[in-house]
Amino acid sequence: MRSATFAPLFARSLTRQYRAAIAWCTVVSVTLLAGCGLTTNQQVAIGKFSTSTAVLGEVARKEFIQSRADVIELNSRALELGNTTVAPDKLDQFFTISRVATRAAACDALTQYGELLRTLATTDESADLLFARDRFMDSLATVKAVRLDDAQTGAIGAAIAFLGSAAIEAERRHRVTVIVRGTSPALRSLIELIRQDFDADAEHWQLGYDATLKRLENSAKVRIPAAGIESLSISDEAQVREAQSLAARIRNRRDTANAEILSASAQLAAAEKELRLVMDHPDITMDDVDRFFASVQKLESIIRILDNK
Amino acid sequence: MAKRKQRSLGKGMLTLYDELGDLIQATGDADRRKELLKQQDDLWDEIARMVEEVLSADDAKYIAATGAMTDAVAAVRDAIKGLKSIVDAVNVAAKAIDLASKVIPV
Repeated sequence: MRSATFAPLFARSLTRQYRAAIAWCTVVSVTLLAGCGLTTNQQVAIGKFSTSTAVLGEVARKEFIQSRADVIELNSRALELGNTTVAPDKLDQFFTISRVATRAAACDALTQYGELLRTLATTDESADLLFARDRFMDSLATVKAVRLDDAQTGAIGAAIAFLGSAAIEAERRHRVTVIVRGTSPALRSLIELIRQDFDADAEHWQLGYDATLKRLENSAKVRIPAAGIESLSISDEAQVREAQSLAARIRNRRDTANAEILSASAQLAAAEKELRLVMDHPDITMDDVDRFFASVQKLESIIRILDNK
Repeated sequence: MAKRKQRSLGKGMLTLYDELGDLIQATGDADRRKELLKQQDDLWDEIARMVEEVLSADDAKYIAATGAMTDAVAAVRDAIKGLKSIVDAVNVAAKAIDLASKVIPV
């Protein structure tokens, strides 16, 4: 009885409440969320960063594995030449499976992080959102107390789609910013670890590689008598020459791979720096920074010229 | 400072290893050759010890960095799920209206 008299009033007030609530939410949310998504600069920086992580992760992973294969081949040849410091059960000396796996896992994590960050920046929720909106509108239509005309239905639907989408974009930007800032120290230290492993002057991974190469080269060298390589038997001479040629071939391959990895790590370091910059200052790009430095340099040279006068 | 010393030591030891190889090749004296070979092998043991030490220290750094990156990967996965939570919120609202329609009298 009570509900029968209350129902029409409730229906009108509910409709009014919905309208007022939606209007209020729209105004507040549009104000709060407007321009809160990732900017074009940020999206471009994330894309560049993701590509750079994929390149470094892939080439470094491949090279760590190849290093082990090379070292096994070099040590096998040194053993054949009679080098007594080569242990037949430790042909992968320095570059064990577990050591390579540790580094390969780091490369995989790097690649995965870049890929997922791109996914976070670009994943499209619009289809799911529209589906949810339709479901919401269908549910609303089942509330008998609420009577909405087509215009009102359209307005509510559009508001949900717009606000949902704006909220997703704001959330996306917030999360990307937090993750990029939070991950930066670990990421930079990993890039540096990889870089130093492929830097011939840094004496990390390459120290083991160089030592192994030199052991084979010396194993061949000490087989050559003071009278020269020609004084060896034909088979011994061939064995020495093959060892020398193998060492040279592997050294060249390694040097080429190192140069590629050093370039990839420099690119990733630059992409990471740019990403941090655009997340903190969405409207500034590295080009702007470069232009700024160019202007400062120009100014500096003008001052120097004037100073000399 | 100690690190810098150790790094230059690595290069220096490899150069010395090479020079011993040159001496071994040049000598015609069997005893001298044997002695130099022994010295070269001993030097190799030192080089190997040093490489092992450097790479073991790096292993630990890689493990720590990979752990941090794995955490970051998990954070990004959560964030991707978090974007869906907004869609989920609309779905929850639709569900709430469904339930409400059942209790609102006509």
